[in-house]
Amino acid sequence: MRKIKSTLLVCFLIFSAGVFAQDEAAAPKEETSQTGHTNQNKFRQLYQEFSTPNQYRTGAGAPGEAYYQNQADYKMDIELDDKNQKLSGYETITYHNNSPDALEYLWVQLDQNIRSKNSEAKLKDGSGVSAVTQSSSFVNDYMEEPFDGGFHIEEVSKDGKALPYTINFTMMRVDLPQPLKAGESFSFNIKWWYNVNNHVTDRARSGYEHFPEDGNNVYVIAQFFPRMGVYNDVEGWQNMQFWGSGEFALPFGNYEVNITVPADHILDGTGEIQNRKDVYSKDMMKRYEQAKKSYDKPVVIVTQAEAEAAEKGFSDKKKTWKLKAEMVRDFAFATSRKFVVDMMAVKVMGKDIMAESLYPKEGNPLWGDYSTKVVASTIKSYSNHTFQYPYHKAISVHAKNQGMEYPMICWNYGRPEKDGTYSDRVKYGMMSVIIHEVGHNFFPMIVNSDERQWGWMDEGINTFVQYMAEQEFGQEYPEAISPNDAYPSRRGIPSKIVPYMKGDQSYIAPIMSNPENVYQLGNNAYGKPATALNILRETVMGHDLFDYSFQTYSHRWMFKHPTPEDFFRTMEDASGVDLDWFWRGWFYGTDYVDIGIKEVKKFQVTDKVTKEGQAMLDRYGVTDPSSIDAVYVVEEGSEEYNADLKDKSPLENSPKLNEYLMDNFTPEERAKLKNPKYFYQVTFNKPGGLVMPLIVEYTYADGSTKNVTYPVQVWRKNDKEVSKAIASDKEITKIVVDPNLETADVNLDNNSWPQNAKEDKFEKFKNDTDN
Amino acid sequence: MKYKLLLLFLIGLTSFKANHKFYVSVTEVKYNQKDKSLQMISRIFVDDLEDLLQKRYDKTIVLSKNEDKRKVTGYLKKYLEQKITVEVDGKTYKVNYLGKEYENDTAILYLEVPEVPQFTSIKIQNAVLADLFPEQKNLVHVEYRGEIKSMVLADGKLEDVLNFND
Repeated sequence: MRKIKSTLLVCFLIFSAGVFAQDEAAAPKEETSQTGHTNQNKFRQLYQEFSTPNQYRTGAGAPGEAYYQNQADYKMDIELDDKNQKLSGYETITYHNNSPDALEYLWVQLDQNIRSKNSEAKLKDGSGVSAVTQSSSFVNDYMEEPFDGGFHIEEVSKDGKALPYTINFTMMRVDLPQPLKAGESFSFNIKWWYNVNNHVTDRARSGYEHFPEDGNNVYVIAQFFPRMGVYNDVEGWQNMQFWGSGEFALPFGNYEVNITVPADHILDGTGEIQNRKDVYSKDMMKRYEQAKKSYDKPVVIVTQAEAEAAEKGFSDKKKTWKLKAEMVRDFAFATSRKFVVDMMAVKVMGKDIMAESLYPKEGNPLWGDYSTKVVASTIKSYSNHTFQYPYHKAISVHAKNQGMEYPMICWNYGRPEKDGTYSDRVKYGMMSVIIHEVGHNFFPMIVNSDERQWGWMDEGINTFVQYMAEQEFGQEYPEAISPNDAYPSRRGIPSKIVPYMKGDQSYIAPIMSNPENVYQLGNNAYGKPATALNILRETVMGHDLFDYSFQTYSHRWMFKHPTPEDFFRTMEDASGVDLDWFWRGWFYGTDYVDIGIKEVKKFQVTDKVTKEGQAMLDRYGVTDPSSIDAVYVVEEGSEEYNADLKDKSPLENSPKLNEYLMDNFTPEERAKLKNPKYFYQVTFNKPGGLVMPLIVEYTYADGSTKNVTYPVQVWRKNDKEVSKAIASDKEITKIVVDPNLETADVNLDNNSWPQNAKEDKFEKFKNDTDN
Repeated sequence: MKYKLLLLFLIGLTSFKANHKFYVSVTEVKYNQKDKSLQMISRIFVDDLEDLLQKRYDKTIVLSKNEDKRKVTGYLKKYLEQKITVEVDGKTYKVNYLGKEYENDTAILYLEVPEVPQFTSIKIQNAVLADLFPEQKNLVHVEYRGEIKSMVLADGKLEDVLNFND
């Protein structure tokens, strides 16, 4: 298709040129017209794309003087029926309207309804007929009753009086008796229950894993209660349903939660345990006190032997765990008889924080060895790059196949074989997912972006900080990553995003897309934005400017709700670096980087007037070249080129230049002058759509090298190619663009002069195997 | 007829993805004019591949640098040559599995289809991992005489045809 188009274009050009020539001959005075165009310059500002700053959000990217956010406080009594995997609750929500608007209704999110029998989400994807289906999924899909996993709402009331409500899929509108005015609060109650799903078989964010060997379940429970939606200056009420990929948009609030579980369960969750002495044994209390002072290694609170004994209990008694949390945007908990627990203290900017892990014995020895240490290291690294971690603890819970984040607690995968052995892949997979999910405490749990609309704002930014935290973990615990010298990060390094960015444009969406509507969410919302930010830090802005701006963004929007523009604007405002070109290219578009070397011309200096030189002089009306002091260059290999000039210096080749120097400079001054002997014109071209700084490594005949970075602005007037004149006292033998692979250049074949022999990955593998 | 309609309607009932887990493979197919062969490089997540070999063939299989090479190669050859098939201008060609290497959590698989003449139409089936994950997506890019065309194989549609006209 592209081919046809360009052929047509060429035909058209030739054709129109012909017409033009005829017209000129026939009617020379007739005006010709060209079609105009709007500003398409890659460096134009993002006025069209950005929303207009206002009193809620400033042009600097900070919260404005009228910025507000509403708050939702919860008091909840929850009970788990382990025998029937059923969860029920009664909650009182107090909603504070801090907006200037009167609200006629409230929107409550019922995310579990994505699992209701007749969930629309099951029909969201297109499909074809599969010739083969696994028997089990055939039975599941076509023969069994669908699982009833949605909310059963039994009561929505205020002061004993029912409130009218309407359920629309994963959202519930509660109609208020009278509008909730600015500054007012409204308390109401919801009674609910639902059947907990098996998260392993249906790969869900919340649910239980069943262990048939001992008959126990490990519960990781989230999105489990009707939660208030977000009302703000940007969206009004968030009205995008939960379809499965776009995650959550939640207001901050304070939580008091009582959770009743079988008496032999070990539980932990968001918030501080209020009745630790009632729910912990004496031994556990003693060990807990030790853990508070253990900064170098975890203290085991519930041992594996104790957990294995508890597995056989199946107590009919109940126990209630009381938790309290302030300024969190969500609440989640994990509970099981199978949990081993360990904790260690970590000092973060002078404050003690508890790093904690919960895992069934199936996670050992891997989890006992690493989980809590990774949690501690992550909290420290992230705090250094953003702000001091404001909560009192961070927990990593082991759950099969999981990687999911909530305030203070997260679920993570990474399970050894039955005999306790594990591969490097399992180990680093586990460490990376813990760093990532614990890191989510910062983005989006505290810097509370809207995940439903923008996956990259938490996933991309978090994956970027994850990359730095992984590298820092490797530096803090070199023995944990040996024999590697550096932590083997999966995302963040520019070359790793190349296969995605050079892929078929039909299956690539801009980062600035809703998570539901992209083809490759992992690359779109995690890999590409993380890489883009890494490139900003390493190559475009440098650590100082980037880190200051990134911390400014984190501080400004800590415990608030930022939008993409707030991020983009702050990064520019705090650094003094115009980055509109970068956001436009990397975040709003799908272009890729491909910069190369088109040609290199070598020149010699001469006194002789060259043809080209004469032509130029003619244009300036100089008829007698001898009347001016001028130096000419002649291209090596051209017909005017004289090979005898090659080994002489420019001053020898151009006596006139020599005379000029002797007349105008003292011998001392002359000694300080550079004495370039070699002259080059290097033309860099840019087949890729993205503009990037032009990073060039010049290698000289004596083996030395010099790196030059031309600012991205070299592309501002010509998006296709740019030439640079280079005068050098040493002969240049090699030129390489982006020698350290910093820019995610998708095609390295055109990056070198002289051109490198192309290395084909397939041929190389084949040859290596044959040998 | 009724049954068929029912199938069409229900086949999209894949389960919901847990966060951070994406079932995607990317395969680059390139026609080598000199050797008259189709060269394939396929990238698949190692944990998914390991999961598959364990479920399908052998519970004890572990994929790592110290793996049981003979066994792993045997299973992969059997599996891949069955799940990846190529038809060029209506004629089926044999796909040969050459080997693999690891790059972090990704397995890079090398396959080759020898003795393929110039063509105008190519049909590729890539059903890799679709037997284990209903939501598996397999992207296939084909480069033929400098032109790249792509297909996304997913949701039960595991083969597609690309046409290269001069």
